[in-house]
Amino acid sequence: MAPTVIYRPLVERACNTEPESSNARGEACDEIVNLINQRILRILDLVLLLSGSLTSPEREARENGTRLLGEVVIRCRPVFGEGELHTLAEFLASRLRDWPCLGPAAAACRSLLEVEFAWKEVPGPESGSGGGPRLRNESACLVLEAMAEMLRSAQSFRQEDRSALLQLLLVAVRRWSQLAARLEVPLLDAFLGAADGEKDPRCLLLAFEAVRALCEMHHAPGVDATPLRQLAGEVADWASSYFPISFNPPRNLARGPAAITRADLSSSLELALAASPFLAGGVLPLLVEKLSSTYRPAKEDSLSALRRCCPAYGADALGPHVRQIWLALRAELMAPCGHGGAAAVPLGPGGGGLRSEMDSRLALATSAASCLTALTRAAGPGVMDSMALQDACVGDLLSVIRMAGSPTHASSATSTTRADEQVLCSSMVLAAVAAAGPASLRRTHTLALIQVQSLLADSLTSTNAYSGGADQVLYGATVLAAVVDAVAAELQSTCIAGSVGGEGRRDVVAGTSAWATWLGPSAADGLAVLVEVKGVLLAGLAAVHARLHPEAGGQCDPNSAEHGTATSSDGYAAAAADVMSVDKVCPAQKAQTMNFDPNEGYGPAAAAQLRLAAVGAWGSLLRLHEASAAVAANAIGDTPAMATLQQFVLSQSELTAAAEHLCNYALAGGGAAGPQTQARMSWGRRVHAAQEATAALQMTLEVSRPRPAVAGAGISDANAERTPVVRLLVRKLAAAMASRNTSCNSTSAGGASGEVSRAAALQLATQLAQAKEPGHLLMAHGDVCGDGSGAAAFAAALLWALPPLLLKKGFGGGDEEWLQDCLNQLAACVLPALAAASGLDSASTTSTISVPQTLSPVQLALSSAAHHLVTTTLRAAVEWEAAGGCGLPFQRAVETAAFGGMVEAVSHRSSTAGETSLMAAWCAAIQQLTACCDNKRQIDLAVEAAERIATSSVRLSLPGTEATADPNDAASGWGPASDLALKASVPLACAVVAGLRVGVLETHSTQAIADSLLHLIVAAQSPRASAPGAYAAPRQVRSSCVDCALGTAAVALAATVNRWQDAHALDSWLSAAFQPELLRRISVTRVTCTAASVVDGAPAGLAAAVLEPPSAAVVRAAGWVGRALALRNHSALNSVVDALLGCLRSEPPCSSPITSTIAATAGTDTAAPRNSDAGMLAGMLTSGVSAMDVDNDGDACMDGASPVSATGILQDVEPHGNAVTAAAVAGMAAADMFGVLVAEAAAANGVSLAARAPHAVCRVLWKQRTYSLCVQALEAEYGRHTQQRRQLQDSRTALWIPLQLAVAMARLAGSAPRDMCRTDVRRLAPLLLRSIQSLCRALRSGMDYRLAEPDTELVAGALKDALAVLRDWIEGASSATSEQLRSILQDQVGELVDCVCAAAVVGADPVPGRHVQRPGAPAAVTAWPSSCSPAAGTSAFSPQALDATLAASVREEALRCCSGLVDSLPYHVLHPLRQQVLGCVVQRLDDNKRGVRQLAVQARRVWGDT
Amino acid sequence: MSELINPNPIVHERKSTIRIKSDHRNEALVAEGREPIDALEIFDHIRDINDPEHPYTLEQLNVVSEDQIEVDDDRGRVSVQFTPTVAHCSMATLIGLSLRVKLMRCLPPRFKIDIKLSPGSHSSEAAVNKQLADKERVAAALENPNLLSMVNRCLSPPQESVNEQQQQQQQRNVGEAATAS
Repeated sequence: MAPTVIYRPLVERACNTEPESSNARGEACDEIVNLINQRILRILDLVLLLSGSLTSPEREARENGTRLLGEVVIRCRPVFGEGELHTLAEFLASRLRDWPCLGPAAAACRSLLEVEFAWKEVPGPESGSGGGPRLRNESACLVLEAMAEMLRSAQSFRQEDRSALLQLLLVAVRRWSQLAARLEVPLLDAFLGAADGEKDPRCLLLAFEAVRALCEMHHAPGVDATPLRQLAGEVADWASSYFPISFNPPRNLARGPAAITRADLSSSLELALAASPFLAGGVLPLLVEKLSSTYRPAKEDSLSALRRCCPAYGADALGPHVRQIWLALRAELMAPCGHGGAAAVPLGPGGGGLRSEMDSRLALATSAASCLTALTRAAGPGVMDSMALQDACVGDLLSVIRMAGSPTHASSATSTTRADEQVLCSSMVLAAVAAAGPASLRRTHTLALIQVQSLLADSLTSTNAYSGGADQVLYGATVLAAVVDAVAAELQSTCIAGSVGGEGRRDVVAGTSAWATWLGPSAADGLAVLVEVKGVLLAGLAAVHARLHPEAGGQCDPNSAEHGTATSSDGYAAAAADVMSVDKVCPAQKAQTMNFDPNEGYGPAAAAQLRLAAVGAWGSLLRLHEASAAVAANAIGDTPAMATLQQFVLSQSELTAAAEHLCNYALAGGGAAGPQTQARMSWGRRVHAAQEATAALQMTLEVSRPRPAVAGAGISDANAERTPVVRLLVRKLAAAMASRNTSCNSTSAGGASGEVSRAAALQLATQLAQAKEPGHLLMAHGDVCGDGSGAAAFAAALLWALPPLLLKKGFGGGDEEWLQDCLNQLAACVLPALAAASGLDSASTTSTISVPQTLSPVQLALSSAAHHLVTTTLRAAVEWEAAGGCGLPFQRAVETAAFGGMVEAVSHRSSTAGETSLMAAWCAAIQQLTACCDNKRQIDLAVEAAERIATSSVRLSLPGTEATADPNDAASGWGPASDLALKASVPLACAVVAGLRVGVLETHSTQAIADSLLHLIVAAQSPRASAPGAYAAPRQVRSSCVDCALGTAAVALAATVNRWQDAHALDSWLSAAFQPELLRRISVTRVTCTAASVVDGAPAGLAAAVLEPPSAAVVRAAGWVGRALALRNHSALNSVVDALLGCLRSEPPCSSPITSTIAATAGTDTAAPRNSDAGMLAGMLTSGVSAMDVDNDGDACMDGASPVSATGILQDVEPHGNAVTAAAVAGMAAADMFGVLVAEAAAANGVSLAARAPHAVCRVLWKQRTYSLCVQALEAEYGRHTQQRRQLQDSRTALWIPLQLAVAMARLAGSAPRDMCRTDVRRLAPLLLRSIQSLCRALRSGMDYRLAEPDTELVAGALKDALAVLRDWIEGASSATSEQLRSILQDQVGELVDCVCAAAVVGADPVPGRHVQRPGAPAAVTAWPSSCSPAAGTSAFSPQALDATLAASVREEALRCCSGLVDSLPYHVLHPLRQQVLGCVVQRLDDNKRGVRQLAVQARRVWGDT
Repeated sequence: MSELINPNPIVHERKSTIRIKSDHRNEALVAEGREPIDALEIFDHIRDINDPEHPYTLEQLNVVSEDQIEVDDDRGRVSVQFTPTVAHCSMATLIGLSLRVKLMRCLPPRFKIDIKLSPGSHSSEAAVNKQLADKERVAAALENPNLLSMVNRCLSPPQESVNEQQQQQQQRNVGEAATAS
């Protein structure tokens, strides 16, 4: 005794249930458990120590004592010996009867009972491995009896105690069922006592489970089921009082992991109801009654319960109730019919309610149909099915179909609708019955389907087609397809259940039974019927197709028929013969059907319906194919049923026919853009016919073939089988795309429909070729075997077929759109998806050429097709050039015209709509195609491309004769002669280079390509030097062709630099070639050429021309290389940024010579002395340190700066003068490049260098580094500028940002990731706001500054970027977390609003006379008088130069910012600005663009409300 | 309001409207780069005004429709006719006032706005029309805080459907682009 005493405080602590000492209690408990587990303390000692509390008269003390003991028992169960267990059981059983101790005692008893099974398996007295010694039967008996006793009065206990008792009951029933049955402990009776009136959801879940366990116990072999039979009625009554579950979870139960939902409860209840066939008598009438309820959940629940119960009850129990159930189900199935008609519901007002009502009825009917299937199967053959098939509805169906075929068929809208519904409902019944099993299928066939078949055959073979015939065909096909579909679904689910194979799913039992049903020895007979149905359906489809597409039918049907007769086992032929035998038509007449007279086609409406029905029927056939293939793949053994099942699989010729038909239907539907039709056979829903057909076609492409145990056949076999389908599709689509005027659609002919069908064909091809993710496909169609390889195979074939289409000679006018469309689709959708899906991207990320890759056949096919297309295109381009080509296929007609001299037209056209030129589309497509090739083919292409580039660059650098061949061209300096080398093949070759993957090229070839590209870019600039005096060249001419070539060359160069493998070689190339050739050109040329102009002593006007600023192309090339270096985190980026900055700066001196003449004529003597300083300083600042520079520019700038003082402060220094000078253009280009440096994806002329892994070397944090580098540089530049202005005492303009710097700032911020801009807001905000002001100012007076048009666009684009960043900030500030952002915006709110208001009027056009002076015009728009009240301001700026759409988008962005401000900043900050904003917004209410007006209304509302 | 005037109104669906073509009158304006303010745009402004007594919009109750709107963008005239759900509707003036206020807030100030009952739709049509056309009375009504708050309640946008509206807006823009091309 003595040693135990020391543990008394421990035990006392463990018994202490004060809330504040719960930690101590837990620790004490743990310690005791440890002690007992280590056998230091015996359980007897513990009981002795606890004796006080266990026997205490205080109920809390007793409860605590029992709880501790129970806990110890639960946790130390294995260490107890047999005797101890018995004692404990005895004691705890007695505790059970003590109600305060009930809960803990029940839990402890549960753990005592738990390990019963170990005793059975290991018959030793001490089985350590089994989890402890057994509990003796007599001890268990004690517990059971006590439990039964307490259960009877359980309803008076607390919820915890009840649930503990129920859990104990569950364990007892599961583990000790034999003992309980032998001892005849009345557990069921006791349970009913406990569960009666139970309302707690947690306990109810347990109770439902207990019902199941108890029923299982009584149904176990060797157990007397009498008690259950006696009490079944009571159990059913008890359970049905909860049906249907109505449960609104209280708030404490609605959340958390242990939350109980209504679905949990109702499925648990369903399982309980299905637990025993004895319950059928009580449950089934209840379910039938609830089915007729008007309460929707009751209907749903009873349907789902029926579905679960019927298989469980079995045929015998169901017998008496079948009729009742059938009647109830029939009512449900027929509910959608005769309800006024869904199809008749017009699409007018009020249709919505009826539609949703209809949908809910339909859902119930579908559910009822599946229930009927389950029931028919459960009731056994000949019970339910015969009842259903003898029902009036089947007779009605047949008569409706017959009536539809008769010539007297009245076709008013309502009667048609009624008939439609009748057919749909009845076909649902038929399908449901047929799906129950082979026997039912056979019976359905004899009773109904045979007649349907013969009717269908009748209507298709009769030579005179009246409109009623269409209905008959429609109905017949729908019924048959519904049956096929239902069976296919059953087979599929069978397959799934079979493959899951006993993995804890409760449906497995049902699944395996279905498996046995469908594949059992007697099933072949029934399945043969389905083969017949399938045959009839196929024959019918062929006939329908022949009627719908007579012109196609002539070509294809003999073909397929020939195939069909060739193989004797072919289902098609057999089926056709079946039809013949049914309706006693000889084969000659059958043939006549095929040669159906095209003049007697269906009407357009009927044709559309038939087309939809045919698509649906093909879909169901394909699903049947898939299902049977899947079953065959999973099945073991070779039964007759399996052999029949093989016949469900569509043969090669059938698949081809499917592809052909579906393709025709899809094209006839007018493509995805086609109209929606109201499909009568899908309850009048609006359906996209073409989309349906396309989906079915996708399925056709992906269908798989059962492979009987020969694994070696593999993919190539599948490919071989797919080939005819693919070939046929491609042929048809190519024909459709090539056709200009002939139309595939027989119902409507003409040029317009030809266009439509072309577009439709393109769309269809695109959709088919878009390989989806394999997983996605599985989800979409439920296909088990589709892996996307079909789409890839199709795409490869399509690519092979494309070159003649894309590159044919003699394009017409209408082809232009299509060509562009096709190229865009290729580049944007098809190829990236293909590359991703086929794994070419991922496969080659790490590999170099030396590592041989294993490519799948599909990948190989794809890559060779892509290669073929690229090479053909390159060759065609060369030929085209040699022929002195203009126009298609490489240039639009408009672009060509521009080349001939219509400069103005093209400049407007090409720049306004923002549409990419055809060449850009080509380049994009070529780049993507190259990316689709494998490494070996990429090298091939690269070699060819390098050759093209090299020859062109050589030709360019020899300007001599070519440039001066034609005087007109020479005048422009950029005539066709010198452009010849740059026309088509060079951009395409550059696109190829840009499409190469990382690691394809070796170092020396990389260097060669880089050199020749560099040479090309630099050489392109030199011819201008050879033609001095011709600076009048309009820039627009350049933009069409040469810019394209040079742009792609720049990207290609960047791509090459970026993918350069050898870092040392790259460094040396950069220092040896790139920096002297390109970078120095940017910064140095100006100096030398200015010098030259002085030397020549040329007049000022000419001096500007001789001046050699870097061309925009060179600057852009530098920028692109900068991007490539930035992606690599290369240190040479610094020098590029410096060069670009230098370029930004270089503008004012360049513009000075021209202004000097102006100034000279103005003769402002007084200004001269002061401005000489300014000029000096400006010169020093802008051009760096060159002394020569200062000397030469001194004169020029002295006069050049004079307008500043002459015209006052409104004009900024740098934009005055002729801003069209080339230097300004270069500066703008440099500014633009700052955006390219950091952007995620940047593209020029369709060719892009995206920061994606397989196509570019891309280091971590490159964006951050580049961004901070650029921001620092720009900030420093701005600081210098400000300082200079301060020195000039020009306080007003001191804070203004020069235009080009502003553009650079805006582009940088706009392209950088938004998060970065948000984090950097403190530094960026002032700069960006001033940039916006500067941009607005430039746009406002664009006329005065004579900004060139592309520059205006650039400025507007930059402004839009900047506003987008601003809006991001404003939106970010509205969230609660961004305190810093908000405070910064608050500090600068005045400037912010100024910016937004100024931007809101960009490009707006105040039409004179339209603005009536408003009486209440706000007076507070003083901040920017000229910007905010154009009615008052006289300086009406001219927006001609600015594209209207772009300007409108800038205004929209500004107004969005405006509206956003209200949400993000506190009102007291905004109030002083309200008048200003409202004044600006009210003007926008009368904007020219509707979108702007709408946003203005919104902005006015939010600002007006505050 | 103890009793509803029309306790059981017919509710219509919100239509999705697509701008098809500008009419010939506005062609001159279109030529100079302006998308003219047309009936559909006006309808967009007023279709989602809430009915004073039912939780539906005026469009759903068929009080306003696109056909009953006439616009002349060039001269700055808008004429809107509306139809109360019942002929004795005492809310007609409030609806009219809401329409007027909404259009005043949404249209440029140069527009003259006419709000009228559609002929024969109301028992005291002339009186209501006169009241709605009276500038002084409208101004006075808007001075009245109770009345103003009622109007504002009618005009407040349904919060949850803002996104939906934007989507529809986008769809409409797409439709416009399609028809334009």
